Amino acid sequence: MLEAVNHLGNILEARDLKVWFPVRSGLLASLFKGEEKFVHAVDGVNFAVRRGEVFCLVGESGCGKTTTARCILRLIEPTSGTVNFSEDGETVDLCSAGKQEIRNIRPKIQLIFQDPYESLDPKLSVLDQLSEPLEVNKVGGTRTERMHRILTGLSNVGLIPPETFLYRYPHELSGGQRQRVGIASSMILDPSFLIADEPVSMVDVSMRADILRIMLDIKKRGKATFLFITHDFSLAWVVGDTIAVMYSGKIVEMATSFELIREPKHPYTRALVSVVPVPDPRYERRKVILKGEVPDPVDVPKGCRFHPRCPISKERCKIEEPEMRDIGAEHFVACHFWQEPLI
Amino acid sequence: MGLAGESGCGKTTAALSLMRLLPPNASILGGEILYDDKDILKMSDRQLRRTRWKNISIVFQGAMNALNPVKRIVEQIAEPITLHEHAQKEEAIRRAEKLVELVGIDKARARDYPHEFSGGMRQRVMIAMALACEPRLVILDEPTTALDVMTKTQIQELVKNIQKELGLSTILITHDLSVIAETCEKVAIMYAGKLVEYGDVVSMFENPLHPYTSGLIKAFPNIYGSRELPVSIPGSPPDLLHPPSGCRFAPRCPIAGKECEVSPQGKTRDGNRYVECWKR
Repeated sequence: MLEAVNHLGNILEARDLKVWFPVRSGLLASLFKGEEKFVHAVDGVNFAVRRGEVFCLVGESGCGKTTTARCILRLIEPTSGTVNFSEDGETVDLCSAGKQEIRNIRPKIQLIFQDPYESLDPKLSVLDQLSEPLEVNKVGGTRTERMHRILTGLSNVGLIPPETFLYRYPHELSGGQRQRVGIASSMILDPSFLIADEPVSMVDVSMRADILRIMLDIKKRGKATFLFITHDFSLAWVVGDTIAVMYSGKIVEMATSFELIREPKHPYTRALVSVVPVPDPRYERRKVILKGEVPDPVDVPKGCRFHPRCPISKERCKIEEPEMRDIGAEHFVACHFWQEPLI
Repeated sequence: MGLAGESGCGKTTAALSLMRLLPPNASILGGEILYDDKDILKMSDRQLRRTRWKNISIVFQGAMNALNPVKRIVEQIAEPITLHEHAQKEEAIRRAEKLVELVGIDKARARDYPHEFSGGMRQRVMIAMALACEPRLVILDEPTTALDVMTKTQIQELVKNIQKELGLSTILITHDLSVIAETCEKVAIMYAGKLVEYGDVVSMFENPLHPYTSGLIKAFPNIYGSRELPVSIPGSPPDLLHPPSGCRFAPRCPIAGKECEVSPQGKTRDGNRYVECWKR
């Protein structure tokens, strides 16, 4: 089965991606020339996204998952590393690509925004919202062809009959409908790679599943590959093929979603999975509650970044940063003591 | 008790009315709010002042972002003690320091300012403040919504422990049913401004009576269950300017029938459960 997936190849590969932001220092500090400090938002991230899958980046706020995504879109300039994007046999390094190259590739990589209340222009009707990308990129053919494309796009996201939505403005739509329009406009240019950053966190609970279903439909039709960013393991569990867990700018564990949720190895993942709320009052389990909080990204702990909060940390963890190791069955974990039980 | 429902269903408004903290354009048209058999709605301003904080207190939604940035946290916690109990400042500060420790903040940090605290720590400060005058009922409005999973769990555990230790009653307002499943004993479900179901948490999850409740439960993914997508409830909540006549859930309800054109009467089931639905 792995073969079958592999022959499709990777659509995106990030290697040693780093994004550091300089910390602005005051006048005095710059006079006394101290060491220049950086926010290590993303600090050496490696992953590969297979064509046609939903790849989830999961982590707490400030772990660098959104920064990674913005880097792929080059909305943020990476400090170092490469992100290879392959399409139709051609590979482009998004990190070193020039402006024109990025402009050419942008239509292929689109973003689904978190907040449908802010991402749609309140003064544009649905029709205008969906026409704009076509006009800007000079695609879509004649007026009739464009209109056809827009109507198909709307019905694909479940806005049926699509004609009735064309002349509505965002304020005339419910939250769920707005997010559908958002997805339709991300899809209108036929992208092959979609980055969905917390796409349902602003949608009412009772309508979330529909939005996720639209994404999975797009995936099933072989239309696109997804990078799904979330802090919620239960969402990653239902939509993800692969899950990568980030902590303090690094990926600490990566596996198929079934394996990662059912057999987590990294102590951080094990703790996070154990506290995911379960909608069943009778379900008993032992929760591993970590003390403290995510470290300051300016001053990351030496050795393993997780060691100050880790329930099984040892001397070695304070000195030596663990490498990502392959423990078989496409499971990768960055921990010296991943085989030890969590007390 | 957990008070659950989607955004705009009236959870917060219901909670604010318990303390008569509604905005000036709102009015309470009828009903009673009994606290110790006394009707809060009939209290004079003076009596009300004595009830707020001392008997019932509230942690407002998002209040952790509304701490006074130029005041030390211990002083902010002490403020309700000086105002409501007319305590001397030193006495109030001393009690505030104890509360700081109770909510799991290092005593050495009591004199820090809010900006030196993370979101989770500021939420702990808000909880300490709500406990300042030793109330018997604390209302927590979405106390963990903006927090990360681990911080969320830390706060939930804290609330559970404090509740046991001090023998408090709490009302937890949230849109997240899984949080309710983990922390509450009783649940009230609201939809479009109405209480549609009330009962103990285990029987409600095991055998939800109202079709909205069962829809809502099915909308949550469970990492210990199957990997199938959860199920959405078709349609969206009604516009409360023009609520549907009859049952407000009927337009989205899979089992609605002719009788649902009339508002359902509430009924008691199995002794301690309550539901507003013609079909159940």
